[in-house]
Amino acid sequence: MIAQDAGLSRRLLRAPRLRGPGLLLAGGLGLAVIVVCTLAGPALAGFDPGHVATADRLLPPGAGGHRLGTDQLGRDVLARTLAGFRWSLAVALGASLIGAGLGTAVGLAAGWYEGWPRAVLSRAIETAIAFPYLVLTLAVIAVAGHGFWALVVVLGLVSWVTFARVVLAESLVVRRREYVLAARLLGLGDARVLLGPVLRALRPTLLVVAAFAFADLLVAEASLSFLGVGAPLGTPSWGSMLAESRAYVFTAPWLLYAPAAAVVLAVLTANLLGDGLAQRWGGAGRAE
Amino acid sequence: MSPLAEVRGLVVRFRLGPGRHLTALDGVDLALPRGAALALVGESGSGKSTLGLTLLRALRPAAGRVLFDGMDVTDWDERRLRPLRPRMQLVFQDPYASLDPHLAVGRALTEPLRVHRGLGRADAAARAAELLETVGLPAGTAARRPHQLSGGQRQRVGIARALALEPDLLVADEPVSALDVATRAQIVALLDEVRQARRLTLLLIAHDLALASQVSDRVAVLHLGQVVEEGPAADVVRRPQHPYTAALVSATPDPDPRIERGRSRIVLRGEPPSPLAPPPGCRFHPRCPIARDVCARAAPPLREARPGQRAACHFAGELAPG
Repeated sequence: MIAQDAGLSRRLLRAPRLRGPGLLLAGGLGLAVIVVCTLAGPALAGFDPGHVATADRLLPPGAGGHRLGTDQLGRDVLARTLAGFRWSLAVALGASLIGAGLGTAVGLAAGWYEGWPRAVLSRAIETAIAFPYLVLTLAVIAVAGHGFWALVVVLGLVSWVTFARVVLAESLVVRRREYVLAARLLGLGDARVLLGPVLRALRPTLLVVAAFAFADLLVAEASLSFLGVGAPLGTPSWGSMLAESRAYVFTAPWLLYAPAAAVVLAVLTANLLGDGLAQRWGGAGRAE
Repeated sequence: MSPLAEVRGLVVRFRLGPGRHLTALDGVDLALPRGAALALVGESGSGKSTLGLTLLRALRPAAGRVLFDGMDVTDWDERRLRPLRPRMQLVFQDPYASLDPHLAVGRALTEPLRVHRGLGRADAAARAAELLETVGLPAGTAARRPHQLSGGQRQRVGIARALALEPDLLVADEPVSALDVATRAQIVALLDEVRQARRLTLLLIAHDLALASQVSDRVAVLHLGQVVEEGPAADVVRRPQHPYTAALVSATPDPDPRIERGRSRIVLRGEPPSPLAPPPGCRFHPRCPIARDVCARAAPPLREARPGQRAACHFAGELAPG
């Protein structure tokens, strides 16, 4: 379900007219903004994102030095949105790394070892594709509790299958290349061949898949936090900020704008980079 | 002393689909004496490359035996073959596809040295520089990627890589057919030079009989997955016993245009038969200029036609190239 939601948002958010270098340029600009926001963080806003001041609750943008206003507890919206960069990107990055590692390992093994290993792993990948992940995620978090690592691990286990599927498909082609045979005939072991020539050939594809997976995971984290099962209470996460803003949509709409814009910026940037890299490497982008 | 490498009754099949097989090699016996250079010639699809790859046990035969240094390696798995791999190396036909485009030349040479010889970074780099010198490339080539090199330079790298582990057996699978004509002679000369300097046993796979015979002691001619003639290089070229060999010899033009114009050539009719459905009897008979009734019925065995020279023909020696 998460994957489908992300696919929909990707289609809605994709800029249709940009091509090649334009995509990478736009993505690079977005990335630059994200890097600045992440590094500078709440310091840029001049307020502590966790500082509660009930006297200053629901101030409109501009009032009392709060450039984007304050929320229902008087916390600075800009500071919380900026703090959200660190949280969201860290969760998405951690989950992408776990997913990429696990998925690449499974995909490489399934591509290399013919016979029963490939049959078993391929079935496992197909089963995982068909699995209702939102249900699993909700169940795991309900049992294991909230928290950064729980979220990272669960989302990592959601994203591995995308990597595994693409790596399997690609490695079935790459394993037939002559320079892979050359490595085998030099008497290099399976691990050296797989992590050497095979993985080197997969690098562009992996980067593209990782960019799309990263976008999916950003949305997934925001969705879970919105539902109240992602970020722990009080964490400045875009998803929880959006959830909290619902009660004030008509009275204090500024609570909605900043976190929503941040989600759009991050997801759009990841998709632009993914598309740009995919076009640049000609057909490597079979991430969908 | 036993030959370094040998195949006996070799049959190699490729599965094309459910119940459909292509028999690439059908009962091949061939031995590579230590230090010898054997040229394996034949047209495309005759099974030359398959034979080379099976000899290196990159392929597993459907029947027959593969022997290396007296060991029957037919059923060895990859793990068991791995320690043996350094002793048998391959020079690929395509110097573009056989080098990892993402890897600098130096690392392609040092990695096997570090794995098999346990050399440190500096020792391996020094050894790689020696290898590059051996194949006539400047030491600076180590820092280059394959796409920065010409076809001839790449093939030199391919040879250096094959020599890195100091093999006993070198299989060169059409090492010059992807190169331009001027470069071919240089690469063949280089192979001949390193073979003699290092006392290598060489299997040179080629479709150019004239070129192959120049640098080899013996020649084996492959036709549709079967050896049709085998013997000393000079004899096979000068006195071919099988009509197919005679046609191959005849196809080589004479550099002198006056001789070439006056020369009568054996021109084979039609395309080679499909290896999926080889003709009955002698597989060459549909194209053979001297075929008779018996040729369509009985497959001729490979037998001695002249001293030291074997041919698989009912009428060996009857057709001489013009």
